[in-house]
Formats: sequence, C-alpha cells, structure tokens
Amino acid sequence: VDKISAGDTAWVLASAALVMIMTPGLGFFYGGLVRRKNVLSTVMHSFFILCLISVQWVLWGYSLAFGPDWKGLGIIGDLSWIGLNGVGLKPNADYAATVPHQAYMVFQLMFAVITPALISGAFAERKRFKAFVLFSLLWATFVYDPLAHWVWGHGGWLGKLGALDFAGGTVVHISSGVSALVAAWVLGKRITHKPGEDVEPHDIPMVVLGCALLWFGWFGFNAGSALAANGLAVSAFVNTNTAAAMAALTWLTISWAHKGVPSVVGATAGAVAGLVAITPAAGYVTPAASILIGLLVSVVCYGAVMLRDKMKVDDALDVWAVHGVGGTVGALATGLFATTAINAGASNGLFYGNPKQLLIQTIAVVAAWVFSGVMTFLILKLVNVFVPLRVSENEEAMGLDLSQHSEVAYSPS
Amino acid sequence: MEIVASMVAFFALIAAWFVLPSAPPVPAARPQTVSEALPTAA
Repeated sequence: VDKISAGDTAWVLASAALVMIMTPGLGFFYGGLVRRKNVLSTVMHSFFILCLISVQWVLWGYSLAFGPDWKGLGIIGDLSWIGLNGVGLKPNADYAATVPHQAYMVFQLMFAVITPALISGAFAERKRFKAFVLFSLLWATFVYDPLAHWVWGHGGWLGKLGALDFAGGTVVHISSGVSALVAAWVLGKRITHKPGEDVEPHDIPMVVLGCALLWFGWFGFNAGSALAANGLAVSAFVNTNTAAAMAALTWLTISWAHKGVPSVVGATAGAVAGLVAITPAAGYVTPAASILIGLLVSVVCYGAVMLRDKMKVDDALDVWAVHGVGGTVGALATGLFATTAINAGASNGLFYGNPKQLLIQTIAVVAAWVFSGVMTFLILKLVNVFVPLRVSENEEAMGLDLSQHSEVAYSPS
Repeated sequence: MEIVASMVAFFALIAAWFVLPSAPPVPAARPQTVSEALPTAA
C-alpha cells in the first residue's frame, strides 16, 4: 500500500503554487515587451488562460492527458476520470506513489495552464479576444492533452518508447513554440510592423519582473517534477538555476558583440532560453552539463531570432525562437548528456555510451513538431469559421486594450 | 450529478462567449497619454 509522505506532498503542492505564479509572470514578461496600447490584452491572455484551463483540466483535460489509456493505443487517455471522478486523495503509483493523486493532478494542471499561454506571445497585438478564447480551449484539449499523454501518461507511446522529458521540453515548449510559429504565420503580420523593424518594448522593468517570476516559478516546474522532496529534486533545482544563469550570460555576450550594447531584454531572453532548454534535462544531467546546455541554447536561439527576423512570419515575441527551438535543443541535449549517475531510473545519453537515446529523443522532437504544427493550423482554421482571428485594422491601430477591453493600462489622471 | 452540473455550467459559459459581442463599441476618442495631458512632462 502506498503511503503518503508529508515532505513529498508539501513539496509538490508548493511546486504547484510556484508553477502557478509563472503564468501571471509570463503575462508581465510579454506585457512589458509589447507597446503600451496592447499591454492589458497581453497580460489578460495569460490571466484568462489560468482561469480557463483550471476548469477545463478538472472537467476533462486531466482525464484525457493522464487517464487510463484509451484502447491501449498510447494516444490519449479515456474519459473515466472526467470531473476528477476517481481522482482522490490516495496516491496513484503510476504517477506519484507518495503524494495524494489530486496533488499530482493540480501540479500538472499548472503545466497545462502555462503552455497555451506561452503561444499568446506570437499573436500579440492583433488577435481578437473571442478567437483567442476559443483557440485556447481547443488547443488545450486537442494538442496539449494528447501530447502530455504521449510522453507522461501511463501507456503513452513516447513514454513507452523511452523518451526522456523531465519537466516538459517536448510537451510544453516544443508544442507551444511550434504552435506559435504556425499561429503567427496564419494570422499574418501586424499592420504596424514591417520586417526588420524593431517594435520597442514599452516597459523593460516589467519584462525583468516577469522574467524573475518565471525563473522563480521554474524551480517548482523542474525540481517539483521529481515529485518528491529528495536528491533528484535538488539536482533539478541546481541545474535549473545554473543553465538559466549561463544562458543569460551567453545571450548578453552575443548581443553585446553583435549590437555593441549589453541588452537588458537580451539578458532576460537568454535566461528564459536557458530555463526552457534545461526543462527536459533537469533531472537527468550533471551541473556541468547544465552549463554547456545553457551556453548552447543561447547560441542556437539567438540565431533562431535572427532567422525569424528574416522570415516573413511575425512571431511578435519570439516564442518559436526561444521555446520551440530552445525546447528542441534541450530535448536533444538530454539525449546527449543524460546519465544514470544522476537518475538511476532513466537512461544514459550518447556521451555516456547510449546513442539510441539520442534517436529516441529525435523521434519525440519530430513527433511533437509535426503534431503541434498540423493541429494548430487546423484549429486556427476552424476557429476562423466562427470568429475572425484578427481584429480589424482600425482596432489594431487603436490598440487591443481599448478595442477589445475598453480599458487603458496607464490612466493619465 | 455534480460533475454533470459543473460540465453544463462550463459549457454554458463557452456558449455565451459565442454569442457575446466580439469587441466592445469602439470609443469615439482614446484617452490622452500622460505626455499629451501634461506637455511639460515630455
């Protein structure tokens, strides 16, 4: 009989709270990066998704993602846990043997919340609020929930294949990053944004605050994914902080060399890229490897930002370059650096004598890219049948705060 | 029973989002910015 551990339960609940604060933190991060006429709508995207997915997850999302495997196909959970039916206060050993099942459920809920919120950075400053609402609900149900089942659900096909994703490099970051690219492409460029033209962030201190909240919450995201208050959680915690710091230092240095100034926004982008890349690897690699992953991801993601700038896709806040590409770097790096010396329950990577793990990681990456991209395209086209995805040109020029919400962020009085 | 009722409540909200206006009426004029209201601040 599985016995509840007070320490493990306390850590998982605290981690759930840490991950929760990441989503409003993301709202601040994104909100500072947009122009002042769009800050409320951008913050609202994250806040609204926190509310929307919190209910969706309890009613059917958790069952689809983590419920008993439907027909043994490894594709999606069945609906037997709908409304948390059967998800009680006793542990479920398939997921976390020492904490109440609902503690695991609510921890996972926070991941389901932040993932669609990440996409919102791509369509910032031009998406109609009603279209955003419908898209988010459909995306969570038909993209996030199945993908979470593939990797983390009991019987999921990628999990059975042996794919390593400690805290969501594939499930959270590749899925949101690739979907962001597709969404930006389908919606088209902002009318006020020409290729190569910088759209200045309206509040950089807000960006730094948002980044700090993300970094803080990420300790719950990664170290909480150990699902126990143990050495593995400590390892993930140390790796998370180390990779974020190294990536920030690297991005700052590259941008300094490239543009001649040590950019504050660049430092925050680097930190987030490092956090993204260490997410799948946090519980499998050494601290030294986390430094190398931090270095690598900033080099690659900086290049991805420059590539995106040359593409005719207006991913407004570089969600693809940081999360899609950064998540891919992290997932593949896990296949290189993973070692059973850190996590005896996992596998070695290429550098520890197991090249097959890199192949498995590559399969997971490709599957996540294709599934997320195709499904996001289909969902956007479906939503557009009912609600135009974009606001009108007049509304866009006015700003989404006024045109969508009739509110302004900074009152002159 | 509670699960069914909560499902109905959630879907009622979703249905409402379909029929509610897509955007509020566009205001005739936007509020002034701080720099416009206080020229000396600029």
